[in-house]
Amino acid sequence: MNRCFKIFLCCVIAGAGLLQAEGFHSYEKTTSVEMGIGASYNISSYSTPDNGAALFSGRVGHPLFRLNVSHFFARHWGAYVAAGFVPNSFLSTQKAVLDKLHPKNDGYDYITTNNSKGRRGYALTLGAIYRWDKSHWSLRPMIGIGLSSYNLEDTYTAYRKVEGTNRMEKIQYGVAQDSHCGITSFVVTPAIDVTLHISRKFDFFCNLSYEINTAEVWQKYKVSELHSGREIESSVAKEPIGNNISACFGVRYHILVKK
Amino acid sequence: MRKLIYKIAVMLVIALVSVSCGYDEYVSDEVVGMRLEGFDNAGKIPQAIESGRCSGQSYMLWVSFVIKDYGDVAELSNPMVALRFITLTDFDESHPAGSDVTEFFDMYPIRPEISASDYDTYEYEPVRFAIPSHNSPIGVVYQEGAYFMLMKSPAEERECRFATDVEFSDGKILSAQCQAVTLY
Repeated sequence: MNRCFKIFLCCVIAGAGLLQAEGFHSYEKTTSVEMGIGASYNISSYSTPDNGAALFSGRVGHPLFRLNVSHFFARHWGAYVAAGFVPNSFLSTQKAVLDKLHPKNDGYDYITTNNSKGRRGYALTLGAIYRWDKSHWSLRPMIGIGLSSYNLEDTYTAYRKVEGTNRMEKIQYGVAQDSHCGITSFVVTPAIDVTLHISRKFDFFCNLSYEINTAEVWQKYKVSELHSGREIESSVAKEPIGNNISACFGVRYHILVKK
Repeated sequence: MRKLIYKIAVMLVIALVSVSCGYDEYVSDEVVGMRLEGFDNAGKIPQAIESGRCSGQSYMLWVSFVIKDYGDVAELSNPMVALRFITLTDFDESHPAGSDVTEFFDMYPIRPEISASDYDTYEYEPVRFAIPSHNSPIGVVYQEGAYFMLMKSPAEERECRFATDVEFSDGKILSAQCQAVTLY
């Protein structure tokens, strides 16, 4: 009990100190580097009923890793360069994709792998930040433009079998042949950042952003009989790379602080 | 400090043991035998037939090979040039006992020993076999072979039994027979 009270007292003192730490960053010329982790969710609109699932898993969440370097050269204004990496998601397994592409209990047994499919990519943006500093926290709207590069898998093959029989069908889906698997896109990223100053050198931050990718890619989907090769259904559609809403949090370190 | 050195040493030993325990497929140069077993493909995963009865629409055969010196893979100096299925019983009016029924079988696209487990928890891999011919012989054979699905069932319920043989470029022929099964 005594120990709990001491810990509580230390927290109160530290908190009070933090609140009293009057403007240890307010409007200083700083150069900072930050690292964050979070999640990104694709919220694009698609023309096909599967919402881009055959192309890159469609509307699913992905982990997000972000590295950002920023410099404030004026009281309110600064510039930043940010690199974001979106790896494949566990929600993008081939089984998850086929569950989206086909209704359950449709008379077929699906034979799929647990391989993750989907898109993994990078985005590099340059932008401007406006800051509104208070003593222990700050609010920073920002906007950036840049390039993103997404690796979409070429062709995935799965199989399905009419229940109780040897009649098998081959399902192929992915990027159509006249599209490239590595897609580079122009990207615009408005964002807002809430920062909590924890010391003269360190901040905690929380960032909410919206990444608008302009590129589109052809999606293919084909089902054919395994025995005869006869095509049962197929579609080709042009779909957007995807617009992502992302949230991440992390730590910012101030390399250089000038009054 | 001693504890730290001890921990690092233990981790190194574990890492070395893990690396050395990696499984390599043993490569030989000859196929010395083969097996033929009937399977039921009615469910998601092919199952061995225990009752002696199977639907003609889901019957399949598993062709597997015995590699010299208990090998996993055979890199053949005399490649395999043909694989045939023969019916040992009257299959239909135009295919009496002894007829070649290879055209009724189609290769299952998944590796047999992988498909014997649950697809939802294990990843499948594509089959590592191709139907050989004189124009496209195969020089590498894995002992797991392949499943072959019966694509045409007999018109009425009847007892069937199949055999398979493979031919190599030096003229050697290996064959195997499966157990009789009632196809309905």
